[in-house]
Amino acid sequence: MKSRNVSKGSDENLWTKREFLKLCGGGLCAFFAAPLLGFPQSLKAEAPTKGLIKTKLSPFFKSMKGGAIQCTLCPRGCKVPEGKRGYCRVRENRGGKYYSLVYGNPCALHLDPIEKKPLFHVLPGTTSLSIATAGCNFQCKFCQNWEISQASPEQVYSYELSPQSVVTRAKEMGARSLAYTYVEPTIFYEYMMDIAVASKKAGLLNIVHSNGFINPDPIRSLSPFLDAANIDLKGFTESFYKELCSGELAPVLDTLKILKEQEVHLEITNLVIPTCNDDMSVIREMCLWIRGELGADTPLHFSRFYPLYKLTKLPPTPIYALEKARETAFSCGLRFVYIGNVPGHAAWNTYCAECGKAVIERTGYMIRAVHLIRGKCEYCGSAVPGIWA
Amino acid sequence: MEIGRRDFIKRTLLMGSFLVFSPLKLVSGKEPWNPAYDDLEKEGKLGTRVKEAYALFEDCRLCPRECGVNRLKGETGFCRAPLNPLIYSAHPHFGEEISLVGEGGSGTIFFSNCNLRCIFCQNWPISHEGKGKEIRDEDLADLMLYLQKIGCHNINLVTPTHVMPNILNATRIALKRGLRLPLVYNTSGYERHEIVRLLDGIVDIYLPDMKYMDGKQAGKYSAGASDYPEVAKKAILEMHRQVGEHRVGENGTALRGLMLRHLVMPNRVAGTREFVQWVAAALPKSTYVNIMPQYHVEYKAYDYPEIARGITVEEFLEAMDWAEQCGLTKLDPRSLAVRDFYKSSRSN
Repeated sequence: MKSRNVSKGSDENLWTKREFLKLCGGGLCAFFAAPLLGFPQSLKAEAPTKGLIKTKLSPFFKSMKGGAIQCTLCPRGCKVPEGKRGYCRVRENRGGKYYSLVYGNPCALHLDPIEKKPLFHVLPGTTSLSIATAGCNFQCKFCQNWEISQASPEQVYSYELSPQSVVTRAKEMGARSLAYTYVEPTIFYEYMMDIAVASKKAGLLNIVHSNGFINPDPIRSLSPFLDAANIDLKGFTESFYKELCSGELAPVLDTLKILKEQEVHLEITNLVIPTCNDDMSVIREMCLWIRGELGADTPLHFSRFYPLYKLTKLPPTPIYALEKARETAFSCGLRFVYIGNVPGHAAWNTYCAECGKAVIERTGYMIRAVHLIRGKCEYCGSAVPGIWA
Repeated sequence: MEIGRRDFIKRTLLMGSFLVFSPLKLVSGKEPWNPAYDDLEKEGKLGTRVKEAYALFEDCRLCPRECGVNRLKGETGFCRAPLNPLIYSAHPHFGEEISLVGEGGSGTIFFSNCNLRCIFCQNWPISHEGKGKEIRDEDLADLMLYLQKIGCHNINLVTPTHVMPNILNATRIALKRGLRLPLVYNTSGYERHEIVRLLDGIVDIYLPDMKYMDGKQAGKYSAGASDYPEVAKKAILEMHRQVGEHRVGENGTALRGLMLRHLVMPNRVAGTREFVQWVAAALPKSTYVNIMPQYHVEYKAYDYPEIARGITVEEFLEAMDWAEQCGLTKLDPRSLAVRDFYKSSRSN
């Protein structure tokens, strides 16, 4: 997909060799470069199998009495006796040592447009090889991926892919980035970290979509390899996090501050759920916090809920609620605010915060036009925050 | 990454040999498998079939919309497709059925535009708005060969109905340049069985949806296609007549046969019970059936209260129960894993 102006008519009929390669995602180039990237390694991957478990010693635990351990990866701080697993279902105490069970066995592997992460200010029009294992450290009642997030590795079909194989695949498929997403990637931290390190040598960006529920040390260690993050700010009260996610808000806010300090490109998603977190005064507080702690330029995505999983009795989010949330965000000084799942809505485009012109136009996850020159508005020259090359 | 010289040579040879031998890897030790279109070419019939298909463009009745426009002259009908194929992307896909994905992925080619246009379509910018790039049949052949080169196990033609003649032409061009992968005809099911007949001896794997059993629902959610159930059933029976049941090679990847998809929808809109009953009555009970739980509210589905929600655990479990009760024996393995997971989660 081109990230430049695309003419709306089909008068660009036949295409140059460069465009063709771009469409394949640089596939042919990647093919010839492939031996140097270890192409045959990815051929040794297996077809997906059910219950595949791949272990790796975790560096995130403290030994306790009687062979138990305490996990130090996320704020849950699970205390796990010998032979048992943590809350996330993918870490296990074996002989007094804590092991990840999801190092190299993703159950989801998909080439997505980067806009789907959603990231609207990073390499528009490119694709991201997105990956997830089973497991999660939350239990959101509105989870769209609960078949894998609430499952254990025994219950899903997984591919067997070493970190290097993932990087090789990404290059083969012409992706410009890797995305750790779908479930909470914190729970497959070691795998994510090793892929991220390997990806840097291959010139790929690393993106995470996370609930932010991770301890400061691990997120600090990951940050040098992380280019962009979309963090869910699911609500702005402890009671919302407790009742609807079995989680906590405060550690999420800490993570956001750390990512900001580590200069990881940040975008935030808030799913507006009728009656649960659609109180505009709370949304206002959230927007003021974002502006104060993370900056007015932090892109914020308001996402549209539909009834599913454990929240089937609620209605879908009305469009006016999303519009009101966006107005509220603007009134708090946030400059880039989006509304999702309302096809054709103007708030899906990116507008220059200075002159108000549309600088990125989108149809669904497809880019129609980009009016930026080296990250600056084509019309008035002001900078739009993001990673544009 | 450091690679010693010996290693490099080994890897290049390994890769080279993979390219040369990979199609035969599918049935090593048994009767060598050959893609259907190659057999037809050897009989001298593929070229004629391509011409026959192209002739249909003049008074286009490729699909049940039967617009009758002259696509050779650039006139467009319901699908809005030009004469040349419009594609959105071509890449290995790992989310398709396991026997299509294997190790190297299913080589999906996403064609823009669609003759059905359901209001809940997940790919609406492609299907409804026709976003994509216009290419020539020769370029389409290049894409097929590229997907083969990088290790895909099949060429998975997504929404092929309105570009069928282009596909046949591209297949023949690619065949002459070494294409050996089975074609997967990944269709909405809104087909005319007379047209599907033209694919006899060319397509090895049919992957149709059977979306609705009730014409009223089909008309409501798929742009007036109230004849969908009747035409799709006929088309599917013709597909089965051509390729029979799903079968795999030694490495577990699909070689030939019918794979039926059915998406469970909220409020029984899809008619799942009637669907499994029809399969059990009209086809072998060992027909490959993928009953899918992944309905998402997308695009305009928010505006239709009956389908503006995800399905419940009960709705999926009842669907799988009906399938078992009807005696269907070859349900998709992932759907079985999801069923087992839903059952275990229900008891928690």
